[in-house]
Amino acid sequence: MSHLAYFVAAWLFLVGLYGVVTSRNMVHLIICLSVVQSSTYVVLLTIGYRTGAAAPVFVDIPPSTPAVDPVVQALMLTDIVVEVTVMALLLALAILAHARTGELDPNRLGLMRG
Amino acid sequence: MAPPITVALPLATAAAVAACHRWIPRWPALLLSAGASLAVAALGVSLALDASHSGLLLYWFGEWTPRTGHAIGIDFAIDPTGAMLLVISATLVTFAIVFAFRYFDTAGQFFQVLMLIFLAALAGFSLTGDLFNLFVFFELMSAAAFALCGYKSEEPAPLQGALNFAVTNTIGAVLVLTGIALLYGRTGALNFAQIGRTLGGRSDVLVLAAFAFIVCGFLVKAAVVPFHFWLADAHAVAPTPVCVIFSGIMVEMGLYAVVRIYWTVFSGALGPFHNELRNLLMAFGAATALVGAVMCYAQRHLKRLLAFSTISHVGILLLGIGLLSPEALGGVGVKLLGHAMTKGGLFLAAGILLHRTGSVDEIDLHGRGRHLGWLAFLFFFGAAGLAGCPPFATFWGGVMLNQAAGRLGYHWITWVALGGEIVTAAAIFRFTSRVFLGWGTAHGVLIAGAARIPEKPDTQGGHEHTPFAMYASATVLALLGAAAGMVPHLTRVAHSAALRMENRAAYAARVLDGVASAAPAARDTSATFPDLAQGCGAVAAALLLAWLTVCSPSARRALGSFHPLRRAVQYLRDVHSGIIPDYVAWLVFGVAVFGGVACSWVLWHATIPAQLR
Repeated sequence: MSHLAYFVAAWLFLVGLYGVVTSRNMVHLIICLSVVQSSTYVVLLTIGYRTGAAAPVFVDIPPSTPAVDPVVQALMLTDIVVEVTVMALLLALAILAHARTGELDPNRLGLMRG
Repeated sequence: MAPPITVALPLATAAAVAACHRWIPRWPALLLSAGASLAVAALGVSLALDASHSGLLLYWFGEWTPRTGHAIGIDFAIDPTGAMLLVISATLVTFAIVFAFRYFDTAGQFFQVLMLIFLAALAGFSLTGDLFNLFVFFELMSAAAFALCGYKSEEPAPLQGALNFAVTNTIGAVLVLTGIALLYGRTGALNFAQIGRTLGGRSDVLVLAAFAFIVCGFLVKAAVVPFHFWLADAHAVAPTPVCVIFSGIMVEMGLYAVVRIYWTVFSGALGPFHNELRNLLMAFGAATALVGAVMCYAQRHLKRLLAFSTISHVGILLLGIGLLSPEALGGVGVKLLGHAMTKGGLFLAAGILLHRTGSVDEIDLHGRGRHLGWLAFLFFFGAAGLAGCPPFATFWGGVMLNQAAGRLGYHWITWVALGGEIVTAAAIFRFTSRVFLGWGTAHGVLIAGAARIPEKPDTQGGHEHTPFAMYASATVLALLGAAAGMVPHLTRVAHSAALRMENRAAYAARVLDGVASAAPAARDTSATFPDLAQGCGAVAAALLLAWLTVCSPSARRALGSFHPLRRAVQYLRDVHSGIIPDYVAWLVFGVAVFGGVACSWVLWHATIPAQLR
């Protein structure tokens, strides 16, 4: 099971990057970027996963019960918060760029050439 | 005094200024922001002094100290290097805020707010001893930087620059996080010392893959070729006080993270691959130094020119880091200090030029700066500093670097570094002589095809005179670059800091077991006559190169008809296309090369018996 999850993560990472490299629309490109980021969520959760273990909430289960690793879940939640901020900022920049130039194709946003 | 105040104070001030910006006038808000960052600088100095006396200072959040040698909590682990980086960050932010007193007449206070958030992130980044904490501060730094880069959002160019910057750096952050996840999966730890101890001396493909992911992610921030494209775009469009922070410290923080993580986490596990790693890092460093220098000389837009000069200097710093020796690392520290102040002064001077003339374009401005004599001097002074002229701190860094390189038998590093310094300084001399002295013709052979980015001044009104705050901050920052080089025993302090940085066992013993180690035996570096001659000779060579390009028609003709050079420059220009998909493709290529080479070491060691290698 765990190997499959790693393959899923690698697939998300690569397919997202492919999308970023070939994208013809800035909003599409940013969504592809969020696909790349979601590969890290899968990696983190897989690393903390233990087959047959309980959720790491020890209110009504004895403390010695095997549980999945709560640290990676905390990391993933922090990661989501951080990435949402960056996504919002990127989309705002893309919308502003479109408002100024009427252009959303990243291949035509090439003012910085040379 | 608790070290987290250096993070909390700027954040709290930023929140207060943002919450009250409708009710308090501009001046108190500006003074409050500048005061907060000055206070952080003062705290940084006291931390640096403490840390160099008593070794590593530890602060465990919520008193979660290690039990039986196992770190559970999150710590700030402050060594002299981290504290010095904090001081540099806070100093640059203070100067940038003071310089911007007359900047941004509309919505001005959000500029200070973002700068303070930036400072908080830089402070946390340089002090933390926890890998995930490092990542969070890294992302906070990025978010503030993206917003500051696109600050002039009424124009198209800043938005494009900010998008290029944000997309590439976000992919860098994903690489770092993937590496962190792999390391956590292997060791179950996030504390530097704990991971380093758990990894021990074992390495396999997983450890090297984690290493490659983390290092490549941070090298994106450090703008090392081929991850460097975003830097020139971001610098060309960001407000000039922001460029000071970008060039002076943010980019170097990427290198710092590589050094910190290598020496506290990986140095044991990667011990068998010491030589291979050295060659790999130095190859990336040399490529960065050379590409940055050539592209720097081929620019007409001053801020873009200075940005490529930063890339070249990052390459030189990476060459020093790649030597993996404490003396070279000390040299890198001193050079970083000198570069931060000098480049900061140059960017502030560029800000004054933009304020007075409404442009930073070498061809448009030909001869139009004749009445700005002091500004010409600032550029001249800064360029001499970049060339490594004594007594600038960059000179002493160069001496330490050269001696370490000579001792390890890597003499070619000296020549690459010298070439980068000469060409980047010559580019500024050339700009200065055309714009402020009106030498030569308005046309340049090499720079004709360079990017001409439309730009509006950051300031509104008052273009016929320069506010005192602008001149004062630019001058003082430039002078600090020279003054830092005259601090007594600077080289010994840097050597000692580097020795502490590179001692993994002592770091782990202090963090996990609470065992302090004795102060390392550091020594002063003295400059010999050839060193002095090299420093002065670099300035002379840069002046000569600039004079030949500007004033000598025959040299210009020879340059124009020298096709390999023109073709190389044209090729590099085409590569710097300003298009995000291209940049990402190069980034993937760079990661593949670095990761492929790193993973091949393990396979090589595993399959080939030792006596055949």
